[in-house]
Amino acid sequence: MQFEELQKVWDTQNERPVFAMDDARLSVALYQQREQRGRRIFRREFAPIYFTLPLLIFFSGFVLVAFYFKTASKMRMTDPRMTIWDGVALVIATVASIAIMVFMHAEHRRHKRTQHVFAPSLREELERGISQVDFELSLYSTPRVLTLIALVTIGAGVILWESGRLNGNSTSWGMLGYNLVLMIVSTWWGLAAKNKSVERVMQRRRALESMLAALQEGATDLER
Amino acid sequence: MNSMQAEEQQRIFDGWLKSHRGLLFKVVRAYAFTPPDQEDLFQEIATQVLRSVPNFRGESAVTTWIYRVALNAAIAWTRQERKHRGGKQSVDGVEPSILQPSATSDPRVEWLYAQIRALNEIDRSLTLLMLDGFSYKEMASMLGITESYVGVKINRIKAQLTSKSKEELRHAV
Repeated sequence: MQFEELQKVWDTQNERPVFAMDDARLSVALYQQREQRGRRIFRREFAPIYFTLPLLIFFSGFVLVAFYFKTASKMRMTDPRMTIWDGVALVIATVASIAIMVFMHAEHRRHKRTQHVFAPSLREELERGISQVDFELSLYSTPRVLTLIALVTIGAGVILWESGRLNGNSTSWGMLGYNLVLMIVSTWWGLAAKNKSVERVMQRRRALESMLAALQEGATDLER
Repeated sequence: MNSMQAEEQQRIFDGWLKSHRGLLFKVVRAYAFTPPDQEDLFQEIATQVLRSVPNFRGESAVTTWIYRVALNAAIAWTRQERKHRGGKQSVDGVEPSILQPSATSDPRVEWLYAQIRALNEIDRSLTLLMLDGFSYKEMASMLGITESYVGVKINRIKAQLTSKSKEELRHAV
C-alpha cells in the first residue's frame, strides 16, 4: 500500500469518528459518582452536626436536671440558686438543638428521596446530578453556614454559662469569651471552606450542564 | 485574557471540545492502549486544554493549539505512566469505560493505530501531525525540534509505514 492510500484510510476518521460516548456506561459512571458524592455530603455536612447536637442536648438536659436538684435539695447554699431564667435558657438551648436536628434530618431526607433511585435515562441521571449539586450549593449558602455556627455557639454558650453557675460561679465571662473566640475562628474557617467548596461544586455543575447541553443538542440533531 | 472568567473559559472549552473532539480521540488512541487508560488520558488532555484556554492568544489556529496541548499532555502522561508501571500499560480493562470504540471502526484504521503505538513518543506525535496535514514548520514549532530533523523523521516513518503495510498485505494474501 502506498503512503497516499494510508493517508486516505486515516482521513476516513474525519467522516466517521472512531470513538463514541457510551451513554449506558456514562450513566452508570455518573450514578456511581452521585452515590459517592451523596455519602461525602453526609459525612462532611451532616455527620458533624449529628454528632455535636446530641452532645449539646445531653449536656443541657444534664445541667438542667442537676441544677434543679441542687437548688431543690438546698445543697451548697453559698452557690448561685437556679432561677426561672436559668431554666428557660436551658430549655431554649435544648429545644433549639432538637429543632436544628429535626430540620436538618428533614432537609436531608427530602433530598435523599429524590436521589436514591437509579435514573432511567442519561438525561435524568444528569438532571439528578445537577439537582444534587444544587442541594450541595444550598448547604454552602452564607446565611445557612452563619446561622448554624451562631446557633451552635449560642447553645454551647448557654450550657457553659449554666454549668458555671451549677459549679458555683455566678458569672462565667471567661468561658463565654472562649466560646466567642471559638465562634470567630469557626466562622472564619467555615466561610473559607464554604468558598472553596462552592468553587469545586460549581466546576462539577458546569461539567454536568455541558454534558446535558451536548445531549440535548445531539437529540435535536437526530430529530432533524 | 488571563483574567478570563471561569464561565467564559468553560464556554470556549465546550466549543473547542465540540468541534475538535475527534482530534483529541486520535491523540488518546495513539498514546493509551486500554479503555481505562484511554479514559484517563482523555480526562488529562481535556483538563490541560481547559487550563490552556486563557493562554490562547489566537496567534495560531485553534487546531494547532489544541494539538500542541494534547500532544504535550499525552507525552507527559506516557512518561508518568511508564514511571509508575515500569514501562507497561495496564491490560485489564475491567473498569466501565465511558469512551468506546465505534461499532463501525475500520480495521485498516485500527492497524494504523497499532503501527503508531509501536513508535516512540515523539515519532507518534510526528505521525499524527503528518497524517493530519501539518507542515514541517508547524510540527517543528510544536515539538521544539528543527525542520530538517522533522523531514528526516517523516521520511523514515513514511517508509516504515509503507513497507509494513506491504508486508501486511503479503501476509493477508
